Amino acid sequence: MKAKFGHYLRVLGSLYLLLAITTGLAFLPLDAWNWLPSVVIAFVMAGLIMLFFMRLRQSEPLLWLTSASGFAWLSLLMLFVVLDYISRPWPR
Amino acid sequence: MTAEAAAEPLNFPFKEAAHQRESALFGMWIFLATEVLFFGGMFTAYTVYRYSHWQAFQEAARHQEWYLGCLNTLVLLTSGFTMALAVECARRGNRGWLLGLLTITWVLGAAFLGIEGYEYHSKFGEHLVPGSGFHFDGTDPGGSELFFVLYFTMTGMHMFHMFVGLMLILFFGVWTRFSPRETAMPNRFEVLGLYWAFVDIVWLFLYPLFYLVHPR
Amino acid sequence: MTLPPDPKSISTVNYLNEEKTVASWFFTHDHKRIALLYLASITFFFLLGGVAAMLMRIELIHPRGELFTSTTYNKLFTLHGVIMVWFFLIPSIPNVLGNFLIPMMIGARDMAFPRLNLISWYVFMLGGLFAVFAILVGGVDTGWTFYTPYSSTYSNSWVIAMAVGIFINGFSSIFTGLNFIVTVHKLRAPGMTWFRLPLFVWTLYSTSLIFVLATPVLAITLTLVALERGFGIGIFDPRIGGDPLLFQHLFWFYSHPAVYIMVLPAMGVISELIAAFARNRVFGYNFVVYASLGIAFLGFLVWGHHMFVSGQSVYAGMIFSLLSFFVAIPSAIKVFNWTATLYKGSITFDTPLLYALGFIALFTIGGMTGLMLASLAVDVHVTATYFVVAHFHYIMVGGAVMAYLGGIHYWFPKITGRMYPETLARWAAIILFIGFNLTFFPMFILGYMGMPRRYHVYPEEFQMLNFISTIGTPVLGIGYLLPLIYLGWASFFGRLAGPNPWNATGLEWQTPSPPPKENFAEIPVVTTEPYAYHLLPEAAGIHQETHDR
Ligand SMILES: [Cu+2]
Repeated sequence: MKAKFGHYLRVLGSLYLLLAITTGLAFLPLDAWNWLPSVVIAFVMAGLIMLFFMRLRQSEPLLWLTSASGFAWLSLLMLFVVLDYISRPWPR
Repeated sequence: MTAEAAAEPLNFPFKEAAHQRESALFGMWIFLATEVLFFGGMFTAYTVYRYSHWQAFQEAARHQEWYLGCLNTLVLLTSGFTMALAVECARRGNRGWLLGLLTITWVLGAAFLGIEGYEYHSKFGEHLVPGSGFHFDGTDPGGSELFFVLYFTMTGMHMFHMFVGLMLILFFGVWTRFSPRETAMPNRFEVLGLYWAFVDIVWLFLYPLFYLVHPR
Repeated sequence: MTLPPDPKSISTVNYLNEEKTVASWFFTHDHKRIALLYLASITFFFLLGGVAAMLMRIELIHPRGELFTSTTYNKLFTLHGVIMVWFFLIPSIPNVLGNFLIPMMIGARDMAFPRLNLISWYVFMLGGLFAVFAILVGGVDTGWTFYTPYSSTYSNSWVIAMAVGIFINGFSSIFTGLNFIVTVHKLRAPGMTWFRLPLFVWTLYSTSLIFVLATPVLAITLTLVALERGFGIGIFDPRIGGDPLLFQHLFWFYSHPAVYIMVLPAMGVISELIAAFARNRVFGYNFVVYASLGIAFLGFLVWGHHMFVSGQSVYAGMIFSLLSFFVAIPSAIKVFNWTATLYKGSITFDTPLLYALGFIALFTIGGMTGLMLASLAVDVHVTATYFVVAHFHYIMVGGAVMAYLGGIHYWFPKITGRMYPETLARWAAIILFIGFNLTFFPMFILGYMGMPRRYHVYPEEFQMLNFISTIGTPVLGIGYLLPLIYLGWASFFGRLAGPNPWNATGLEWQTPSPPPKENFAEIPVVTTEPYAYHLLPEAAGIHQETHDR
């Protein structure tokens, strides 16, 4: 149990650290692009939670596939929707 | 105490505990995939409107308290940690620790809802709630209203999921506390832990998209 | 496949009679009983949607449309669309035949989550309650597509109640899909490898992927419409810079794949029927499997073909058009493989095969006209005309409903333990086919001539074709009512069927009819491919004797 506790604590520490970084980066004057670093870091944090808190690391490959499928299909939705908006005069 | 000590009673049609557990986890992961797409519809709307109204979004986001969002993220990450430990205890059949950690998780979750509720309350005072009472001085008030429409629907939907999670923790916790069984039923806590972590993950995206657009 | 079928055994204790109380039905966890609960509910909804269709056709006899007001007519076609899509077609084959057959076909005692299976039926009924409530208190006039800003701002009807009904209904779909996926992955009998699965299971597996990946998007979209309508917060509202087209994107991200929720299971049924009545292995089994998965995947990439004239970017339109053509490839593979399976098979023209042949004919017409609609230039001409109406009714009714009825006939002996009257059933199938074409073929011509859909008043030169179409409706109605009557009769008074009246392969035929509560006395061990008709000691004589009176 002790070892497990330390293991989860290290994950939590990394998450805290990433939170500090993403909050700090938000003050950079990136204007329209300021979403980029923070969303990338959000994905890293989500990855840590999935791997360790949700124990994906010890799980069968089937669960890896399932966990990826939701994000994969969402990216299909976003890809084609964004494709439409960037290729027409919008906003009018 | 040995690892994986806790035993789960078998439900029809399963004949082996391991088989039942992996099926339950698989089912939950599928459900979480559907949840990704459920929230995904709103994230898509956010993407489109942020793209088309990014300046209005920046103006609107100046009315957001980034430190409250940051504090809430901190609270939620911590609750994710205690929940992960609780699941570990459930798997080892450690009922006392399980109940203790569930309590901490519950309190953290409730604190999150409290902070969020405070923010909602102050938005009412500032006329930033979309609808007929909305008032905003800016270059593109409509675009800024869209920001708050998305803010309220997305965080509202997230809060609803938090609320369901709190109810489940309460229900399973009380059930475990008063059940005559010596050990907890680990599968339901593993599934609950997955759900709680997922709700955490949704917030990890909401935080930058609503609090870090233009912090001051 | 390893258990030798015993033609003499008639199960005395089975899932139908082992418990007889009403509560034993409403609290059952048995997948077979839940299938029958679904059968009863969707038959009710089918009749409800059918009555609305009849009323519309009667209205359309006369070009001035004097029976109903425009608003009532709008409510009728909305009712027809909503009920038929979400409360009949989507649950039809998956929830009735799929629920009944998947555990039996893969050699399992039940679904992975039997209680969730029952919950999904209650959720379905709750959603139905909201829909029926919305209809009774005044109806909805937006069309089944709920386009904004009409649905969110201008419509004066019960949009929120209906949206809630469909939202709830969606969770029933999600639970069903989730259950199917876990069941197929985790509960296959020993030796039942992925490539020994019957094609019906493969298509339902593909369908379930669509259930869980598309339905949540519909749920959130309708939630947003309801929020916009209820609280005046305009998510799709152009007045504050929102885009109504975003609604259409989200809606069709679900609703195009939903077409494959309706058609893929139908294709699965057809594969089973053709193999059984041509007494042949399915030609190119692997290709049919990959085609099912391919359709499920490609179906997600083509939704923009519903938005060609909506103001969507022309570049997006071109890409969606191209991708729509690609979907035709796996569909064509299937039609080709069915034909090849029939070729040199020893065919018996029993009722299920008649339905299967009807399916192939009508689905092909529906598919070819779908290609016309997928090409940008043609679509501009026929958008929102009766051509579109005819096209999707050829797919939905001519395809999905034909397959559903074919499947109901084929597995009827398994479900009830009794045979239906074969001669009457053949006539009903033929009447149905004639009635269908009479009703819907004129719509292709009407649409090509330019008659718009969703209007009850039209120029007089369209009257003749509309009249023919309306004449077809009672014929079609008889085609549906006949099976309802004789199948109802035969479930109590039909001749006993025995475990395997079609002498078919497949684990479901190795159990007694009706099957016992947990399907198999002993979980079977599978050693052969699913359609091993070439390995059967072919007893054509016995086959004839058992079902030709
Ligand atoms: Cu389509």
